[in-house]
Amino acid sequence: MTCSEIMTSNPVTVRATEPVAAATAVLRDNHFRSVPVVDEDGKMVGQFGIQALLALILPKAAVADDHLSNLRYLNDDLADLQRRLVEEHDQPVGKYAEEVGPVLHPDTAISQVVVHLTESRNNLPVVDEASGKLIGMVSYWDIIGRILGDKK
Amino acid sequence: MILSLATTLLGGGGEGHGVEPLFGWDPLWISGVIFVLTYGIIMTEKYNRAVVALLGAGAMILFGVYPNQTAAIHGIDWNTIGLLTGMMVIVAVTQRTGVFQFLAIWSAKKVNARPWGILVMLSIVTAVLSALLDNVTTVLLIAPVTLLITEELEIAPYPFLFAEILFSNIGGTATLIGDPPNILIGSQVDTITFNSFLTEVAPIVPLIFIMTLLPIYVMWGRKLTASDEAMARVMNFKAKEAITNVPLLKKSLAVLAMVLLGFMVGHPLGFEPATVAMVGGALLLLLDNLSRTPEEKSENVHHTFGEVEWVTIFFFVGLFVIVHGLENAGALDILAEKVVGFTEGAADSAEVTTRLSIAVLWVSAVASAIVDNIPFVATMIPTLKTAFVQLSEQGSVLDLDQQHAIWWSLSLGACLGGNGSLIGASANLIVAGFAERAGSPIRFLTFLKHAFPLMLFSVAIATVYIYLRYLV
Repeated sequence: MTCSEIMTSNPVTVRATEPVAAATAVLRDNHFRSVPVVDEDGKMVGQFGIQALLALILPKAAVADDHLSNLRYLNDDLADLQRRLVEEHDQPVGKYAEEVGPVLHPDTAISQVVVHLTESRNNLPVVDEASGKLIGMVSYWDIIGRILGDKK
Repeated sequence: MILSLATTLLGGGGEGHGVEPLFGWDPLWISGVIFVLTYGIIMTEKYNRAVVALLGAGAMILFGVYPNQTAAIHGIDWNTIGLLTGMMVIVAVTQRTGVFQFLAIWSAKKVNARPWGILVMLSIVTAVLSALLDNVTTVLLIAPVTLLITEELEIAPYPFLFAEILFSNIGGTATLIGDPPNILIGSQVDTITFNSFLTEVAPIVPLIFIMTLLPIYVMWGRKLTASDEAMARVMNFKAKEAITNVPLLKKSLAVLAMVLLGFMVGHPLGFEPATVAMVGGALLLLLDNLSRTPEEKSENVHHTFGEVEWVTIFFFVGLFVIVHGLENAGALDILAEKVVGFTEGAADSAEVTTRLSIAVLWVSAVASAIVDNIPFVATMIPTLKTAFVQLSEQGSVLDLDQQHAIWWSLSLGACLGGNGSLIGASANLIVAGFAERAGSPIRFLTFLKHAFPLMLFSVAIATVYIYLRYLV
């Protein structure tokens, strides 16, 4: 069995040029861990997920370096976190799209998909190798659901 | 002979197994080619410098420049290696306490979060820590907090990071342990001790600090402003919360104080800096693990050793073998002859010293701005030692004070020269790398435009100092 048989086709995506606020709304409204980011041709740019969103409410210096894991001295309140997020609201989400795991292809074997899902702990994009276009997404539930007998 | 390669590969490493140079080639040429190739490849920065240096060192043995492996190992300065490793262990444990972040935040609040005041305070903290620890670690820990503070102040971090790069190298110049060139000089010149750096090089450092700060004020300092709201955010920081482990902090500071005292009083008692640093490192590891379970102890020690910068350590090991190979083959004699040739026609040893000091100071400064100052100094030390011998054979005997004047010139030139460009010293690259990750990249040419003139200015001050103190 291969990836193309279990993936969710035509997944929800955001354009790289869309603002962070729009991508954040997609995550919140759908309760997604991450959403794929594509360019105007539908080519995969990366994913924008909860980790990237959380990083936006911290000082950039803290995210860039693991020597700043202790931030107790910042004495922040919710207003400070909100201020940092609001500063990034209008930025294009493509700026923060990141690779959160390996890219799958339609012919990737299902066992290999499970290995990648286990390692990346994230939904993974399925990309057409020749065009680089996003054609689907695979989540844990795409596989577990099928095993448990859920109808696609 | 091809046999030399086989003999070496098959374990001809003992004293008794002499290896002839490969194909009967002249070791002088082989060592020269290996040296130029290795240094050239290191300069391209395309490959890891430690890997290149180790390959160069291996080539020196495999191609028969050394008669055997033992001869190559004799070239490694274990005092430098021990000192570096010991200090890295101490710093690895100490930095876990959060004391560096505490110092940065505390100093920012001391000046009521005014931007120029913060720049001055962080510069002082960077310079002092660079002198007492090493400048690479200092910037590694101070630069992230600096970016955090400038982000909260909503001002450009560049002037702050620029100042920290410059003052880490300037502060590091003051002591034997502050900057790798000084570690090399202090380790390989028998008559130079930790205290000699304090009495001979350190006195000029505060003046260079102030004179470098003035142009920074004119360029940026007077224009630095932040809103009251932004300054209030920094004042709202709780500096004490930066300290994560008070008992460990006490242990670390106690060991650090003992180690610094050991450097000062150790030499007359016959204890080299490596002994002091390694004993200090081991003692701190012991104290850090007293109350842990055996499994935790093992894991913690493993983790701490993992934080030692092995790339730097192996880089030094490789360089030592390469430079010693060059020395063994007689190539440094030729280089030394060039140095001696520069003193031709000098009336007496005083004039020889003057010419050499000034030349070494400026050549080191410019060279260190262009290439990594560690390989440069590693080559210069044996070259100058050979030059001193050649000079004495020609009747121009330099006494210890005169030799020291030249060593101080090498130290000041190589350390201050590191400020000339972004690739001049390891500390510069570390700050640049971090700034880029945090979204505020430092451009090579922008830094060069600002830093190179300031470097020349500091070397000019050093020239006046060397001249007035040692040459008149």
